Amino acid sequence: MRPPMLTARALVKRFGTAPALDGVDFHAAPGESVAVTGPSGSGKSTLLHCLAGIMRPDDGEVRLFDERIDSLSERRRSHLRRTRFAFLFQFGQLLPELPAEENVALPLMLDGRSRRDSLEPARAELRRLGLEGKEQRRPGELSGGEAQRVALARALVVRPAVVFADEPTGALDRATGDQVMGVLLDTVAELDAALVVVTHDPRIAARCTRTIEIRDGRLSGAPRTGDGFDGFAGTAPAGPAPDSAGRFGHEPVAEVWR
Amino acid sequence: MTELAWRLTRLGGRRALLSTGLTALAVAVATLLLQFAVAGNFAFAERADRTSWREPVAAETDASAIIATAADHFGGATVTRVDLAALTDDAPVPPGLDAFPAPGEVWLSPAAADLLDGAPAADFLARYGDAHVAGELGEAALAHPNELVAVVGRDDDDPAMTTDRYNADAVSPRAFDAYTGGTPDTVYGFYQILMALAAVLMAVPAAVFGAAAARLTVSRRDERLAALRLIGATPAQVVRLTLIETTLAAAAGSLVGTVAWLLSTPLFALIPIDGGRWYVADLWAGAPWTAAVAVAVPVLVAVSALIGLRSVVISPLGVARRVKPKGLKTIRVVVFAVLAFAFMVGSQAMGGSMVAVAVMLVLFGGTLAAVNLVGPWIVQRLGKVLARTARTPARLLAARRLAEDPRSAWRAVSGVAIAGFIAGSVAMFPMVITDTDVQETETIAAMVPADDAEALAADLTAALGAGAEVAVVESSGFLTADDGAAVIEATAAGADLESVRSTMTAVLPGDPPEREIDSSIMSNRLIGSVRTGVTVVLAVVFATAAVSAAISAIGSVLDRRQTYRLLHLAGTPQQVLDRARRQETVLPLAFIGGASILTGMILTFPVIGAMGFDASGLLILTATVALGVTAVIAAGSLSRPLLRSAMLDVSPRPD
Repeated sequence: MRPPMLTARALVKRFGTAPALDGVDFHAAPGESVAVTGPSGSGKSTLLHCLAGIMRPDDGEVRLFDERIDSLSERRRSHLRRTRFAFLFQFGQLLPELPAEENVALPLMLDGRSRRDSLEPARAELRRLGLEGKEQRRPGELSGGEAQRVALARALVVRPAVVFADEPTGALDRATGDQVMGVLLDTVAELDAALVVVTHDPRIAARCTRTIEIRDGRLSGAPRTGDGFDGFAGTAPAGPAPDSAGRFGHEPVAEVWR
Repeated sequence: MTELAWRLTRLGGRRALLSTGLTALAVAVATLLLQFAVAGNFAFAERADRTSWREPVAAETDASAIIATAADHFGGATVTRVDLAALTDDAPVPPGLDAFPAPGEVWLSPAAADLLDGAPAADFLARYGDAHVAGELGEAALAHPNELVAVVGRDDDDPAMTTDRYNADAVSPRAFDAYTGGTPDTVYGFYQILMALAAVLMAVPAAVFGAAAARLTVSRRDERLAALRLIGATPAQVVRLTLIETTLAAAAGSLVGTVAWLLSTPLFALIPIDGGRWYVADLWAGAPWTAAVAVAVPVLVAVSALIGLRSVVISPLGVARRVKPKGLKTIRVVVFAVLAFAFMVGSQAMGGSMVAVAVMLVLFGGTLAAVNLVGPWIVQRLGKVLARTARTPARLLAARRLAEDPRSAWRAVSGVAIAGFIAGSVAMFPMVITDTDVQETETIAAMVPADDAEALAADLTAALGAGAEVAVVESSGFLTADDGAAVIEATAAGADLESVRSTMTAVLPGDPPEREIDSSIMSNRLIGSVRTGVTVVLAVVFATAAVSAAISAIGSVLDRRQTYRLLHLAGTPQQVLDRARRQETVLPLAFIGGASILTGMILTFPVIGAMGFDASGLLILTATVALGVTAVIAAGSLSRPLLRSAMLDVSPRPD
């Protein structure tokens, strides 16, 4: 097991007085895929938002490699999300007025690449995902699975370090969902990126390398972190050994290693 | 059904209320402006009616009084004089007076009284012989509160009551028995045509905007309507639900707009036309018309909503999905071209009859409405061209949006396009206001019957003494003697102008003497009125444009809030989206605004070529463009906070 690149410690996030996250630890290594499961309203999406630098946790910290990202300015976090992270949602993330290839090229253009330089990798990515010949179609002219593959192409075209997915197959039928999930897992492995996927679907979770479950803002079965947990001091880059009962030993119930 | 529609609106949450509220607001603004456009026409008719007593029907027999009119001048102002002489004891009392004026009585309008306050009798009152001010004219006698009128009572054998007027606008002495059925001042016929034109210019954009606002909310309801269809509502039920909802909003808006209009009439009444503001009552078009507009607006909105709903009804599932934008058909261009051509040919060939004018007005309105057909087509072309050449993501987004939804982009700029067209066509008309100040030496002249000319000249020389030089001539300035007439002119120092004029008016019956420049007072007033009118029309059109730009910007954010949110999550900076949204307005604005100004200029160029160039027109044009662009951009930026909140909305599943 390689050292994790995305780590979080003792995350707390409250909406009003109700805690959505109540002390959650997290880590993901390159090539690893982590499924986040749990009942509705348990705080899965909040965890995802905190990990991805969309929300600032009220307490705790998030690091990408060595850099602490939860305390960055909104501007820096936007930049980070655009360049190092990628997102895949249930539906609706494609701009309806742009053809597929421009949707995919958009993140590259946003980063200052010329249109031509952006379209080339975009087309290549679409081809790789089996969408050759559909570059000029608009999202409305694509099937659900095709649209989701376009969204996937857009997520991957920036060569992200971490891909965040929130119910990526929620709007697809089983066969199409499996297919999209397969492509997602393959590509993440190929890119040596990490994947964090929020899902209700045990079949999806089963295909990930690891599953954590969240209940009431905590890792299922885990005590509140912060007591007995020594944090990342000193040895953080070294990371935990997967088979040891070491620092992640307090979440064995939630963590299922495959 | 109505109850269900109401519950759906009320329980639809803040967003449903917001979009319903937007419809109501848009309709309110459109109604207010429509009420103004309609009322304006009646206001001119009211004014005209109140001038009709000054030219009553001549009585062949049993006349009880004699009336004559003239245009007196005082300084740079024209005072309408009405001479009255009773023939019998039961001479009809003119409107606005307490009694028939006795000989030697002068009744002044309030404005005239103010003007003459402090002027020596020799400068004005002496014109009417041994006269004194007997009273003030009431509203019923006056076209507007600022009108300058003097009603002079005379003996029936006074030369002023027997001498014919040469001036075409004056009424020669005529015996009459009653004021009813008289002829209104001819100038108001002209104003009424201009007002009808202005009404079309203001009403078409306002109506189009009101109708478009309805469709705006209909499209936002697409999702919910499709959901209703899916749970088994019949198309008819869905249509009825939406129609009820939209019509309720429109009815509320129409009511608010009408009340706002009634409350704000005193402000509109301040607009000076033909030398004065309005009696507030003139702007109340009368209950039937006000009510008709208030009812017509929701009906129009409902019809528009019905048209907008067609696609929803045909395909309940299709509306949730996006397909390639339908290319707008070229037939739009053809319709516009045919109408515009018909209008241009018509305006060359038509005569001045009322029917012809009405046909032209309809054609004009049709052409204007057809601009709304060709506009989206142009926007779509523009979007396609720009999308091909776009380099930055903001430009690409803007261009694709233009090609995808040219109608909503057009809604935002159509008002400015129409304003630009008006400004372009009017701007270059030379509107020179002539200086009517008193000069060092002034020559005044009047036309008299040729046979009496020498005798009158001699009388005048005796009356004026050494202060002025009197001559009988063929022509003086613009005044050239008719057949059987001669012109008497007097030259005097400018300081003595009014006293010389008074003496001359008293000695010479018939038309009062005038300076050459006095004939410009009337045209100055007309030009001033046209200018005011153009400014008002432009202001109204801009108000429409700005409100419609603001509403479509808010609507487009609401429509795309999900995408905006996800773009933000993926790290898209808000500046890029703001820039894209701004370009989405500014690009077609620059292109179409420029084109419409140019079209306006080209259309009127043949007329103007002969009249010379006027810098003030250029000023109006520049101000128009600057104001319009600023207003639309500012209105668009009103939705920025909304975009921000939509983007930053990180609730896991927004509605």
